[in-house]
Amino acid sequence: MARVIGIDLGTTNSCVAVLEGGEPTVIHNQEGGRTTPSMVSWNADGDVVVGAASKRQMVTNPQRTVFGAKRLIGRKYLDRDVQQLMSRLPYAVVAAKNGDAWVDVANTPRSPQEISAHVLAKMKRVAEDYLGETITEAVVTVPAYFDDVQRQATKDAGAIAGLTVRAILNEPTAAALAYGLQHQANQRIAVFDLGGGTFDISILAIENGVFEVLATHGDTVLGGDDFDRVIIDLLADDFKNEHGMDLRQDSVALQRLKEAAERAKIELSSAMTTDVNLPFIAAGPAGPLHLMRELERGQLERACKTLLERLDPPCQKALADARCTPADIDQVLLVGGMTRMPAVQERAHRIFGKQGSKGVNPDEIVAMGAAVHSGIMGGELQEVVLLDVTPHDMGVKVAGDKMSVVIQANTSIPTRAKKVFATTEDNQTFVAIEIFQGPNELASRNRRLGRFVLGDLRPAGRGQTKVEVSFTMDADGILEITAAEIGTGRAASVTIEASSGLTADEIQRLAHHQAR
Amino acid sequence: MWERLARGPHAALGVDNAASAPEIHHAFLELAKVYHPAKFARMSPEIQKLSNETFLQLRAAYDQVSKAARARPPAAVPARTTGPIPTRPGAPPATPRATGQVPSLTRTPASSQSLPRGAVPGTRASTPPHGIRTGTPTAPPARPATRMPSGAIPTLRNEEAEYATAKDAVARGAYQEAYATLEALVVQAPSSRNRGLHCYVRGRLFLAAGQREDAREALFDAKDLDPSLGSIVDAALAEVQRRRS
Repeated sequence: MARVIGIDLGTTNSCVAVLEGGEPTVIHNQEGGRTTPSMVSWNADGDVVVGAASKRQMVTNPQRTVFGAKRLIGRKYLDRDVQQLMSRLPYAVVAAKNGDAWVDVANTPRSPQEISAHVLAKMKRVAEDYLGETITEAVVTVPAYFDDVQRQATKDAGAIAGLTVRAILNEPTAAALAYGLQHQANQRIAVFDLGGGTFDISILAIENGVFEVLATHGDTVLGGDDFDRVIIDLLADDFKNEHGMDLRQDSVALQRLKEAAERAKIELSSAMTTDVNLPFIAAGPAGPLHLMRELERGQLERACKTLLERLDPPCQKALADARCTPADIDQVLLVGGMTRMPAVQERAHRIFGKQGSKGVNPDEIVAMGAAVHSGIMGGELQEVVLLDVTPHDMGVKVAGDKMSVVIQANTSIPTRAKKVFATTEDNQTFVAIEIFQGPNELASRNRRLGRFVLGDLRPAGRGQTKVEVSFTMDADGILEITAAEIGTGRAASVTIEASSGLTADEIQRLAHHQAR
Repeated sequence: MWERLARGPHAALGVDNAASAPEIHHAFLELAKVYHPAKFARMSPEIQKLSNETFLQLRAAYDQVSKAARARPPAAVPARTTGPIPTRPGAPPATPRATGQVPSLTRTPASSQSLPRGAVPGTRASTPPHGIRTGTPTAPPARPATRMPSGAIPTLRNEEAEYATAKDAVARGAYQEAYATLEALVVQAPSSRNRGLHCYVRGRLFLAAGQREDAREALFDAKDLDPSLGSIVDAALAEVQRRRS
């Protein structure tokens, strides 16, 4: 059977690994890097540039260089998180016809799926160059807290890149798989994953090769980008007070600030102070202005206090759902580049009462885990299996916009659950069943996955006609819903394959275009 | 596997009726290594569908058997109080029925997926046309009245007095005694407060019997049911933890 590669499609960087002799191996890209920036640029002549080459032209070509497409994928333009994010991006986000958030690159609207597909295609080429064979299948990782629409959109990005995505794997789970394979002991581990754009916490029990996820929580809008933003604001606010100019209004200056902020943040993980040096950052009335100052670690940590505090609630919820106390956790696995920040490590230490594990590379372990999962599917790793959970409540909208949960968050998948509902009107002849996903008690505040109608109900007084709704979720998180009238057995069913907003035709057209 | 599934949940898992919760869990995990759908992810869609269905049945069997094992009273342990171990007249046999409804002592209605939320008769708010609402009279009552033979139910003098008696026994560390009182109390007044204390005492008894995993489950249930038990539950959990290391 042909090989399946494992890809960590990150907000900031991506990484590809493959299983060789039962061991996951990270593959170097053509530039010699073990990770590749998740960046895509369109040149003036329409050429697409991906990875390090794209990052290099970020400053000179900011409006046509897209980074962090993962923060937009599978989201609506009017989504509160998207609106907040937009104001700080050097490129333009626009609303697609279906309301999705797309990126406007030199007057061509492009979907985040298409942009991510360029990154995935690059990773595919990296693997093909190394292995010397054509690759058509992959396991791709996503934040555990991604909803179904975001997962489907990631799958579509794979299809555009010419990859059949055999599994969408949760990032913290992937990290645990790679770690657990190296340290074969029965234990409970907490995976604390703070990446470029998202925060996930997962608690797993490893028992004789079975990786059982006990609970997952997270924050899809908390990551390294937000810490960079805090530094950008710190620098820009000081500059504004001094010179009366807002550097954030100028996309080139903003891009330089962003780079400097990221560099300062990384340096402050090992040093106590760092210099920010941005000559000719703006033109003032009396000549050019420069931004030169020293930044201390303490300043950064104070400025990031609210961000650091947001790490606590998901961890507490995950512990409670996993029915664990911090003392039950044997190992805390730190994943994602942001966990190099001492203040983040300290937070994790305070929550779980123990130091995070050293000796794993937080940038590579997720891709390695994806490669391990390909081995589970391919039969190379017979004695290993993963039991993951669904991170969100799934349910049906009932009278008063209430969310009636059928499958609870942190239920192990695959799973099946049933619930009985009654009509609200006399002689009601049909019911419309609307499916939602999310934690809110009001259905409309959650993600709507689909709707279907069960008709030809037997006329009866309200409340007398009963409909049993059954949810079946497979291991990939694909939901199949059946509704049947109790007594008559009249049934309707629908498979909810969350639509990522692109039609099959669009995906095929984009795939064809990219293959050229 | 289908053949085993057809022979009932215990046969499917390959465990006997007296298996403990950790034994059942272990059996399930070993089967998952073979039958999990991820193992068939690269095969034809038909095989994927079939493997998914098989695994769902296996999980249903596991859920049923492990729930029954957890609802079983803790193994008899030497009581800390003097005198005979109080055994409730008409108590259910230690081995659970293989099939059918096992009264769930340890689950809140909110976490039980078979019970719709808001299944309260008479909740009929004004509703939009063609909406649907939760609530069904077909849902089983939280505690079937048929659980114990009639006449075996001790008459409840006073719920508050019973609870206070149990609480007092708990304070003295007389968990067997408290358990007997609470077993009767939760049958007649299954409030979350009463069930919470019941679970706590179960947890204590499991702990004394060295059944750490069962103890943990029961203790976490207790906290879910009655958050005011938080501090004593945490103390007991810390003890579970100490036994582990």
